[in-house]
Amino acid sequence: MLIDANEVDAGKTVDADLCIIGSGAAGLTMAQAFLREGVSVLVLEGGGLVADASSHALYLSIRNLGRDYPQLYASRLRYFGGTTNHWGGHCVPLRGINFERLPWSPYTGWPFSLADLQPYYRRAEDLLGLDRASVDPETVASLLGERLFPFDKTCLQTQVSRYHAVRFGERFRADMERSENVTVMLNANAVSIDSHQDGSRVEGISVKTLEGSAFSVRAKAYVLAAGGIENPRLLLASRSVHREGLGNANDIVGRFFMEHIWYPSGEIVPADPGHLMKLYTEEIPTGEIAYRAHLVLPEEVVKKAQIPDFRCEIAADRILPHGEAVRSARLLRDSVENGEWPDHLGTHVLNIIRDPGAVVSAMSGGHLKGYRLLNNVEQAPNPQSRIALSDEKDVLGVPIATIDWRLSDVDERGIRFAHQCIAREVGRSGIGRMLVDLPDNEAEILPGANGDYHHIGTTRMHDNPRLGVVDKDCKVHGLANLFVAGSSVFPTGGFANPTFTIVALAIRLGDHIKMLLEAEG
Amino acid sequence: MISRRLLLRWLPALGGLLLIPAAGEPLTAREGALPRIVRVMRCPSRSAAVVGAAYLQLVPAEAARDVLEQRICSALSESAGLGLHMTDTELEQVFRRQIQADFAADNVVSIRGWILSRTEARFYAFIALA
Repeated sequence: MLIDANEVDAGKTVDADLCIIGSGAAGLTMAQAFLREGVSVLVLEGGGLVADASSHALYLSIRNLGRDYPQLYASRLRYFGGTTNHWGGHCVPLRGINFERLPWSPYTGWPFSLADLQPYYRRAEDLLGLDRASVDPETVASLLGERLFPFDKTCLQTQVSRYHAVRFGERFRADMERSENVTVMLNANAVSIDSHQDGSRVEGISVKTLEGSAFSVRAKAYVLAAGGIENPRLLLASRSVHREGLGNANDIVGRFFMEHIWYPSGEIVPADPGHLMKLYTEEIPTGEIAYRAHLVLPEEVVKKAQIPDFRCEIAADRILPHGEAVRSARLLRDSVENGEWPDHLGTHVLNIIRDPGAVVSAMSGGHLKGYRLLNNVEQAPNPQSRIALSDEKDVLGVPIATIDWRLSDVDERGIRFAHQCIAREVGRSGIGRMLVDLPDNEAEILPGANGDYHHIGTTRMHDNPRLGVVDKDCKVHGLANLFVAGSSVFPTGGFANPTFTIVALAIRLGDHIKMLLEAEG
Repeated sequence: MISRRLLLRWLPALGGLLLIPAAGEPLTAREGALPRIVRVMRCPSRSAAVVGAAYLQLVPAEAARDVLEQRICSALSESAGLGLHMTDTELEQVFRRQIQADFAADNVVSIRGWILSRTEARFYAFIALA
């Protein structure tokens, strides 16, 4: 069922078997996994059913101490369904190399392999309606009647992603409303995680509403699924017993903040501008899902070059004809669409007759000038890149988060190397030539690089508590019943957009907690 | 100094270099190999000259036609099998193979960020010095 926290009596303790903080991709995937199970689940969502300025304002208070992070305020959403409410639907798994401990890159390595996560990726495909559709480039190209770049696969590969923008709030709302064992509590802001005096387990969650009510939640197990910034923030802010914050005995919480570095640079000038490689430049729908191809370096090449993982998206750079004929054609088209009779119809028709070629070209999207490379690459783990707390507090009394996003030399080296690989293959295969448009000035690392609004690594997974916040089961080290879900547990982020992996890991964590709760009786 | 933007204007014209159909004309013994390749490739001379001039700014030691001809023909002979009695079609194929081989071997040059095969960059420079 769905309830409003403002209807809960102040001072009351709400009981459940499992409490999940957050209703985004991770939180609702877990809640979905517990439907019709003999376990009572309470999902705490800070926002309401729709976006609300006063709730979202709590996200705006973050302080940026590091490199510029444009539009951080827009990178996450604070209402039922969380950031999936503007998710692009890009579904792609991590690659095998992303799980490996790479000797040249400190702090890399997951406590399990891609093969271990594969069964959960399969279930994530089912949950996201991907129907286990093939992502083999040749198969997809054949299905869609599109061409692939003829690159040597040992140097440069095509990687195909599936797209299905599931809005978790919309998709699962009816299930939640009908459920007898899963309750979603809206407008319920978790303000601290309260541990037992001996510090070994969580005893409850303190909850506040923006309208001023306060109460607590008590459960057997707790899952923190509030995103890559809020997860460490809440752990750090929960200091009633552990003065350094929960799970932070080794000063790891909030460190290793990573993004997928978004850095547009490079352009391919095609020898054959007459043919657009559409599978690379746009999402091509078929049925419920869409496909789009990207360029990636083979894993062996990444290893040999000792760089972070690399992918680039490709955008068509078109020249759109303009002039009187095109303006007139657009005006007539708009008039027809709006059901209006245009003024000066005769003049517009004459304009079009004078230059029909420009009109045809403009209406078909112009002609291809080149392909721009939108690089979307892995950031190497960096303990200096971090989320921390400021001395200021928000309206709920929770310390405001600070972000200090830092890149390192190896990130830039990776992009430079990848561009050289692409340029070589573009030339060797006869596709055209490439401009490597990287700054010569190395004083600033990737000036103008943006994030992709993927907040990764801030409660990283590692079997050693000195190197990670959670263990391989996503349990916070040193606390018996607190778990973390979401991209904050990724020790490395690869180039893959994180939601697909977030969902797979949440399914895996759901299985684990079910087993624990069953064992507990 | 030739800017990146200026090269962006000229390089698309050279992109067509790779698509020009073979002429298939017989060999004329009096011609040197490189002037023949220039003729066979029908490369837009103005575009080539701009890019070639940029290469020569980068490698001034090669700013002489005989030096460029010697280096290009030497590369073509060594790896692509340049022969005296080749038809234009064969000559064009040899030249294209050499460009591909340059890219495969990372024998490339960056001219204001544009990554070109060493042989084609010299070829444009040869045209620039015409």
